[in-house]
This record gives sequence, C-alpha cells and structure tokens, in this order.
Amino acid sequence: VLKRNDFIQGKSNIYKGETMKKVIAFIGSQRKQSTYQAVRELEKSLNASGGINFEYVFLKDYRLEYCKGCKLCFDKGERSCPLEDDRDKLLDKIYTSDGVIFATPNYSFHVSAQMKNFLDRIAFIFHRPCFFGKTYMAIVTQGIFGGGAILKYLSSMGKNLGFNVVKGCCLTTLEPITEYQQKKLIQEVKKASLRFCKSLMESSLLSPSFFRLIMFRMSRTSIMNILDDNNYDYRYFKEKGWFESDYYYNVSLGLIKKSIGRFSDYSAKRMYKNR
Amino acid sequence: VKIVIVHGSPRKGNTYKATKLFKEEMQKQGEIEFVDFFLPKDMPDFCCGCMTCFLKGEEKCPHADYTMPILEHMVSADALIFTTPVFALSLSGCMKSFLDHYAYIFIVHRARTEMFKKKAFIISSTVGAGAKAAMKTISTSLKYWGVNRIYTYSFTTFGDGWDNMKAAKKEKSESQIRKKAAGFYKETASGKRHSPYLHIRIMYLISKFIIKKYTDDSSLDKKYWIEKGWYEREKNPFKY
Repeated sequence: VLKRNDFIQGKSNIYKGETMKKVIAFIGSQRKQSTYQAVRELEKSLNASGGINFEYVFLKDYRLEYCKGCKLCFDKGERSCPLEDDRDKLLDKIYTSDGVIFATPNYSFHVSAQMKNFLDRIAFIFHRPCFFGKTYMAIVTQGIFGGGAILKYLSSMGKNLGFNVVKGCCLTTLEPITEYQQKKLIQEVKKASLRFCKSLMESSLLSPSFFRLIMFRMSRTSIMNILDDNNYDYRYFKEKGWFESDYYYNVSLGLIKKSIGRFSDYSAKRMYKNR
Repeated sequence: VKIVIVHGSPRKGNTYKATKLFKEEMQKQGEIEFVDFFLPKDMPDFCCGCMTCFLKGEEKCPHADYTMPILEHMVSADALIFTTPVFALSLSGCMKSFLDHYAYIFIVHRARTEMFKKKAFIISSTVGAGAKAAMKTISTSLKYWGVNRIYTYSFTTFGDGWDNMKAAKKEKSESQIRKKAAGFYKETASGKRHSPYLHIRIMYLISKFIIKKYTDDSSLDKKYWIEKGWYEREKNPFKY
C-alpha cells in the first residue's frame, strides 16, 4: 500500500500512467438514501466508460472523533494528533486513489456534521496541500434549497486540499420524486460524471487561478516571516522548496501570473513589516 | 434575565476567553443567570438524518436525552449566545452537529413561538480567515428558528493566542467585547421586539401555503400549525 511519503515522492500510480483509475467516494450521511443513490448513479455512468475502480467510504463506519482544535497537526505534524482513530486509514485511501468524491446531504444549510468533522480533522492539509493532479468533485443533495452554497464550500475545500476540482452537482431529491424529475437528476449526474471522467483521464497539473496563486504567495511569505524551524509547516515548506518556487508544483506561469506572483510576495512582505 | 450559552469549542482557548470576558461584562450590567453547555460533551452524537423529528416527533429522536433538555433551556431563556472557533474555514464540527439536531424547529417545520422574541449573539475567533463564514452558518440556522435579532463579534489572533496578543491589539478587542456585551445586555433586558427579518417573513408565508396545500393532514407539522392557530386571521408567531 502506498503511504503519504511514497505519494509525495511521486510514486502514486497517477504519475506512472497506469490505466486503471481508482475513484473513492466519501459519503457524509448516516443513511443510505438520496446521497448514496446519487453516488450510485454516478458510479454507474463512470463505469460505462470503463477502466475505473470505484470504492465507497461511509464515514459512519469509521471511528472519527471530534477535532480538539489543539493545532498540534499544524505545529508539530499530523503524527502528533492526540486522537487515535481511523483518520489515517481514511487518508491512506485518498493517497492511493486518483479521483475523490465528497458527497453530503444538506443539514441546516451546511454540510453534514460528520463531513464537517472529517474536514476539520484533515485541515492540516489545507496548510500543506498535497493532492495535486488528483480529481475531486462534490455532490450535494438538498430537500428544497440551500445546496448551492454547500457545493461552493465543498468545492473550495477541495481546492484548498490541492485537488483539481471539477464542477460538482447539487441535486434536489425531496420525495416524492416524479419520473420526469428522476430523469433530470440522472441527466445532471451523467453530465457531472463526464466532467469528472475527463479530468480524471488527463490528471494533469493545472496552472493555478489568480486567487490560488495569490493565496499561495501570501501564505508562504507569511509562514517564512512569522514562523521558524520549530514549526512543522515551516519545515515542510522549506523541505519542499516552496519558499522559492513559483507555485506548489512545477508549472509554467505566463508573464501576467508571474508578475502578479512577484507583487503578492512583495505586498505580503510589506504587510508583515507593518504588522 | 436568563441566558443560555452554547460553547462550540472543544478546548478552552481564545473563543472561550473572549466569551468569559463577555459574560463578566454582562454580569456587571445586571443580574443574569447563565446556563452553559459545552460541546461536544453535551451533544456527543452526529445527527443520523433519520427524519424521526420531522415525522414522529422530536421526543422520539435517538438523541432526545441530549436535545430535549437543551431545547427546554433555550426556549425558557431570554437570550442565546453561541460561540465557535474556525475549523476548516467554517464553524467547528461539534457546533455543526448541535445545529443539525434542531432542524425541526425551523420555521418551515415547527418553530417555537418563544424564539420569535429572543436575541442571539455569536462569538467567533480565528487565526486568519473564515470567521464570517462560520458565524453565517450559525446565524442562518438561528434566523430559521425565528430568532428576532442576531448580533455577531469575531476577532483575528494571527496565531498569537489571547494571552500573547500585542497589548494594544488585545486592549482594542477587549474594549470592543465590553461594548458589545453592554449593548447586548441592554437589548436583552429591554425585551424590545424588532421587526422580523424580511426573508424570514417571506419564508413564513411560503411555508404557510405549502404546509396547508401539500402536506398530509396527519403530518405533525400541519397539526402543529393548526394547533398554534397560525391559520387563523391576525395570528402569527411574529405577533405572539
């Protein structure tokens, strides 16, 4: 089994050009109803294109305790987490897969608490993103409305984790569903699966958006200035060479992006000085 | 004056210290009874989405031992305070879990009339960003509960922690909290009822229509609305 380190050293199957792609779906609902069925539908249309190995992960089947907010994963590394549960098992599943799907129902106009807690527990990856080149999609099921904002949140979380995020889908699944609605839902999932499949087959390192580029430059400059060798984030950034590089990974930036990057470095430095 | 505080942080860090200051300041203003709930201790389980609360009644919720006493306290209180740190650019998982359990008192289901005159305050702290999003999630829920007015306060620590913050910055935060606390006490003690949020009013009218037209006579929601008399003329929770 490939572990985090192997993955970071580029030993993941994605860079080896293996044809069989592994897709994993995290389901943040305790029931096996609409959210599960939406993912089932997605699996069906993904399987139609072949070469995909699909796996379900029901978060309810894993022991995942509430994040304590101790910040040890930021300061000393994720191995220092005081909670001993199935977090690493779940993470290993992401490290060894090529595509990831986060599916959640709409509970109180946000992701389900189970999904939220999972995100809380892997929040150190927001600081040290690593899932570059992997494809990610969010699926939200809603009763009547409110799912759009959740989809936006989950998609931006995927970007924070380093994934190539494709536009997900927000499905209205309040029962009873008419046949016409059912057909429309299936169509929507099919479209999403095509988007997902395309990105999955390419699995390339994309040029960052302006926002992501600026975020990277600003955060690396503030980490460089505020933190020191005692901090794991700092050591990690140094080891990766992220204090000097253009972006998290090797990618050629155009002239405009390059100058925006330089400007972000400069303004972050000034912000730090004036703090 | 009775105030229920739901602490959404598993550790007693920056958010807790700010809340403590807020409490002290309110107590200076007048006699207050605080009831504290600490998450996740007081709501350890995730909502299982079984819909029992919607269909069969909240007392049949598998976690009713936790949810019912807290709701009773919240209903009988004059004001509510919610606190959350920022985890993953949003509210903490345990606060989310808490909110998930109370979807049945949304205005589209069975809103508690007592909520419509309550004020609420949300306190949040963050290292860098995300406090606005965290508070927004809580305030959305509260608005749908029918809470009359929601006030918020958040501060950014930049990783320093409440105790190590630069003196000038800390003083500024403290004075802001004091001001907000005094204002919130005045607001609560006066018992003044502001005009309800517009979109909540609209939601109320839409739900009134949908429940009357599309739900079964045996549904708990419909029975509740009829029992409350919200289908009668000149009677609605905003006026209660």
